Amino acid sequence: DIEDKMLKLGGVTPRLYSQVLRLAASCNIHTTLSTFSELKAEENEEFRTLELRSKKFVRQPARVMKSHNVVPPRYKRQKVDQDWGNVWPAARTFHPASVPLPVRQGYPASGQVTPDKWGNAELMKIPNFLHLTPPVIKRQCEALKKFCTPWPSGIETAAEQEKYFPVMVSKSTYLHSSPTLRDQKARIVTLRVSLKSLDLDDHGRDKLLRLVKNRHDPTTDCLTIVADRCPLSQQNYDYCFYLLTVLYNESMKTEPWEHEKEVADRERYIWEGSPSQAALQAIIDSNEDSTPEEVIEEYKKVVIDLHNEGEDEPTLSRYRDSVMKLVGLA
Amino acid sequence: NMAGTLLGRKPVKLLQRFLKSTFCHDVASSSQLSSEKIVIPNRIPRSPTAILEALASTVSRDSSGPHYKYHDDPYLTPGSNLSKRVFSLSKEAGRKAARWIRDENAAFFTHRPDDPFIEAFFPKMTYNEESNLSEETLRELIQKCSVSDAITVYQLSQSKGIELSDNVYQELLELVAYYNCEDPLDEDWVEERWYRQGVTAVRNTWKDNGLAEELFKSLSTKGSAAYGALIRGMAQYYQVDRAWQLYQECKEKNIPLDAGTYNSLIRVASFLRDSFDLRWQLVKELLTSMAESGVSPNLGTLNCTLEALSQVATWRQAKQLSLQVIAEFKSLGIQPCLATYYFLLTIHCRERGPISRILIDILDHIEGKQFEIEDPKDTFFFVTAMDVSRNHLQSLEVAQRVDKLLHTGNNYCLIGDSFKESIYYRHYFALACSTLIIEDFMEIYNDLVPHIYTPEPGVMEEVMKAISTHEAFEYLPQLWSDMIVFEHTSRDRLLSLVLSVLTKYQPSEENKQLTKQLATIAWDVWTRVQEQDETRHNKVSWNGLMIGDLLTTLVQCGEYDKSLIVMKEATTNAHKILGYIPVNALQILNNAAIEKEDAETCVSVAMYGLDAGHQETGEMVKQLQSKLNLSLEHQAKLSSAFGTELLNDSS
Repeated sequence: DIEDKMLKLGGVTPRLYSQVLRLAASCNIHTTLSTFSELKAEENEEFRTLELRSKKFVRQPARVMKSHNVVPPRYKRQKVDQDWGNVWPAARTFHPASVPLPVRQGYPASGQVTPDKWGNAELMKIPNFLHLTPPVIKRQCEALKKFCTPWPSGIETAAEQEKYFPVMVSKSTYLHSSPTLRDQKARIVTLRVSLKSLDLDDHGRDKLLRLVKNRHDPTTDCLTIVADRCPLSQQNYDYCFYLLTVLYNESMKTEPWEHEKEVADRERYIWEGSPSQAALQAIIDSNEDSTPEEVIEEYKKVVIDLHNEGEDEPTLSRYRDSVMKLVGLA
Repeated sequence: NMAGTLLGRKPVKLLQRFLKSTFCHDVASSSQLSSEKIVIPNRIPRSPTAILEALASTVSRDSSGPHYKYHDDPYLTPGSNLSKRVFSLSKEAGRKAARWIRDENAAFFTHRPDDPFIEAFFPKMTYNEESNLSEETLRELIQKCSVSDAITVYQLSQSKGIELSDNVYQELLELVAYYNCEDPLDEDWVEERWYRQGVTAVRNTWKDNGLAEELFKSLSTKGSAAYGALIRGMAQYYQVDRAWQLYQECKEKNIPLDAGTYNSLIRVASFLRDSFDLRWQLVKELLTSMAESGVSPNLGTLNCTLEALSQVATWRQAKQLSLQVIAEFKSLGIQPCLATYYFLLTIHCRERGPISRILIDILDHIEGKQFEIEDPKDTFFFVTAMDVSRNHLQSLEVAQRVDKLLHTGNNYCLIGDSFKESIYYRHYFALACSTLIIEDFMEIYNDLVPHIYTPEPGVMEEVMKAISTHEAFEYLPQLWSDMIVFEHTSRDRLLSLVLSVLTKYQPSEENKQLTKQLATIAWDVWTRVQEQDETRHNKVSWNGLMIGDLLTTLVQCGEYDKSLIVMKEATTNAHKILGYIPVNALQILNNAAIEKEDAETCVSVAMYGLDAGHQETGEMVKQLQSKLNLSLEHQAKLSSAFGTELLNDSS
């Protein structure tokens, strides 16, 4: 029936038809009439047909996937008493086939259980510490012990360390797995010293603080000098110490023009010679009864605090109390 | 706190400097420092990678995972030998392709961010007419051992008329003679080197009248270095006649030669003489002339002498001479290396000859030591030692000692290439299989297979035979799945062996699961063979024994229906099966059919038995008749086939 149709289309030899079908059969291709007509056209060198519309979608048969003989996942072969340090020697993204634990992570879809470990992006994103199990840490520490020298005696406590080694210098080195070994950040050197160990007097401390500005941390009373202006860390280190030397020496010196320091330049409020003192004196003088010493002292202290520590609830309330006492209303 | 910031090498030293450079002006504190001196111990010197090496020493092999070079995924882990080879070589082919692309398009790879400059990442320089050449370029290329580039540069400099000094000519001669004017396989192609079989045919491959000889002729003064280089090159590539000629020239002209040249001549002495004693005489001549010239022998001399002896190993005196040689060299202070021991083993542990326990003496000597490569033939030692333990001494204890030595320190590097490794493990495996009880053997199996060693079909056969002997059927499911992964399922010998082992299994109440598993295996064998591609060139075809075993197994494990399918296939396509199903299988099937009162099957079994010409078919028919009621149709069939007398006999 179909053969008759083919023959009727004209110019189709049975031989060509059988050739095509044999070819199609051996390739397991489902041959449609349209492809056949294309082949026929090529054979006879006819005029190409003008296709204004896009070609009809010819469905290809689904490829039969050859099933591979796959080894079962690795964790099935692992013994219970295996040496885990050999399986996971370094930090690694989570690999479900190697980890014998049935961990689950993630928010479950409605009606589902928590997603298991296979193909779990949540588990793979987070850092895992499977390479740092306690036995492995112990083993690595044992291996590194031969490079360690004992801690020097005499500097066990923090106080002793502060006393003998007041200066702390730190820098970082970087290791890259890339064509270049260098990293610019390795030149940065930080020097930290507590001002207590610098043995400065009042003036020296004041001068130093003015010189270093925000490099001083008032809470910890530490001076931090960061140097990165030189290309080598050795140079930056030398520069740090140079700065420290210069700062110290400069703050110990008193320049001739420093006496020009005015009230507005003072870093803290000084009671002696201030208008508050004069005012208090006036009040005391105007007071018939002699005001007790402690009230005066208290007022003095409170005013100093108010200026130095700023105005907030406790200082203001103390001031009020003191004034009341002074005036005699308390 | 202090502890946290004592980072890197510098700070301790810096702190020391700080202390010394009396920073604190306060006299009181400095006197405090001097009174209670804090002694900081000196830093322990270490190499740049010492810490990494120390940490690496805490990690050893994980037997559950594939080799580091493969991608660690269950789907991408190779199981069979072929896939391991294909995976590694294809990965390397990718690297080769990348390098080729880089070298083809050198103009695009000009970015140089690396500091210090890494030459291996940059496209290779090509030398042509326009390039700036000098003696330095040639020297550098010789240093890098890039033979073809050096030759090109040499030819270019000849055409350009650049003057080259005699030293450079000598260096180039040495290079070209050593490599025989060919580029060696690049050191980067580790996988190709690993899978390349090092055994090259022993025939003359020297390029006669090639560049080496041309250079030799063009040298103004042919000193001992030049002669030495040429003789060594010729001897290495087995151009022995010319090498001997040059040696005679040297003798006539009284040109001194060095130890390496003598060594290379000793090595090829076997090709210069025919009979055994003449060869040894030649070796002795060379050694004496070496001594006369005042050239002190070295390890190479020892190894070459022993190599010459190993080529006359069937000579009666060879063994004794080898021991004498070793003793004499020891008195000179030359310690033997692994290659020496290898030659000793080849001389003493011959196939046809008395059993020699020299390997045990050698092991006593070298147990626990670490070795570096000292001679190219060092890599042959472990394979030969394992071969000797298996075939010559047949002792697992010796084999285990050899294995322990192999795993000491860095000795595993001396296993050579993949071929030697697989042969080594093949011997070890086969020896363990024949010596150990099955549980211990399976421990070794689980440790080595499949990631370190994949058994070849021959070895797998031995394992199956051992299982059969010990009747350890619980290991069969694992072995069968391994066989699928190793792609052994297209070997008919193995399949028939598996089936015959399965028949020995007697199911019982306790191990129902094992019964099921074994039935699954049998059915799997059937399906795999049936579903083979028709066009395969080495198809597995059934033979009668295999079908018989299959039927037996299926029936014994309770898979009666499946056995019917097999029987049907056997009867309908009897022409595809080689031979006939043996009669005991038929009997088992017959008995099962009788129990199930399946007369149809019994009749077809009987017909088959008749076709096959089994004597016992008559008994089977009688049994059938007595136990079951046959329909008229069946009766008619049987009578037409067997004749009425048989049927009447029973009744």
